[in-house]
Amino acid sequence: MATIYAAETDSPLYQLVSSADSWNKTRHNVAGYSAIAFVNHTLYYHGYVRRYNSTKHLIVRSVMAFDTSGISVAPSEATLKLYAGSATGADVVVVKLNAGATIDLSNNAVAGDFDQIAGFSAGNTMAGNVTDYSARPINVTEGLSAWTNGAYNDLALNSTALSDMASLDVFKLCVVEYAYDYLNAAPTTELTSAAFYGYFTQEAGTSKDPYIDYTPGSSGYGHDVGAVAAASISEVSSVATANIGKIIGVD
Amino acid sequence: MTLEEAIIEKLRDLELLVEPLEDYSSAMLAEIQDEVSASTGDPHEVDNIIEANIDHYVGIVASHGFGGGD
Repeated sequence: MATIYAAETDSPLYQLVSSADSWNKTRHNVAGYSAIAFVNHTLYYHGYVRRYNSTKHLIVRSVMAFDTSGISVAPSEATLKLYAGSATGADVVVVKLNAGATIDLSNNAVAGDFDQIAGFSAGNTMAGNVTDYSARPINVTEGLSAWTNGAYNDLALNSTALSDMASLDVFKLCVVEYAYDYLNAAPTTELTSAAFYGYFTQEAGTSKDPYIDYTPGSSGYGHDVGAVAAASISEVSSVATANIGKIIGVD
Repeated sequence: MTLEEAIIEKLRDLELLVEPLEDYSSAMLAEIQDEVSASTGDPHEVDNIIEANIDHYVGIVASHGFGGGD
């Protein structure tokens, strides 16, 4: 296994709107209701939804960036690890953040990154529209009744994420609360507890920082065989090149 | 309700203070109280003052090493 820690630019993005049509306005970054990037927070919500009343809502999403420039072959598996604080209960989904989002390896997230989710459009569900990087929703899919507080929790990344880790130098993602925010299902009663509460890289040291654990992919045997270019060879003696490490002792 | 109590209640309501209150410094609360008092000493006005300037108060919380708590 290999590990990549999130760049120290990760951040919760907080958006509170008190207004008519506040649910729709809270879900995206509209003029006059800017989100706030909590760039100095050590411990806060990765995904959160609260309904105060019909005209006041709060949504928190978290964004992070990882240096994947050293990965050229898609990992065979990868898991986003988030260290949970107390009172963590909500289902979440990991989704792709646009390459154009401000957050990167050296620039902090900004308010406008709130709706820089690939495929996101105002007023619509994210289901089927955005690029998922994980199962939907992670908690239920993985058969967990709750996240574990005071420990790392595993968010398995899907094949799209694995492919992007290989093709992108900077791998950007967003964690979104599932039941209300992801599905665009406005809460109909006062709601205060749809939360995944956890640590960010601003916490001292790295013992609670978000990171990705991954198993490096294998590119297989990459040499010419019998004057045939490696790129033209898919199998040797019926064995796929991806499964061949050596031929007669040669790497 | 005192002005300090009103401030704490509002910061909690906005999820700007999450962890137990004893984890936060008195200096942070004093600074926020000074800020609010400069506008009004009326606890009933705290809601509007803080909510209209969330960015500013988030900055104060963060400048004291907090932010969501730890």
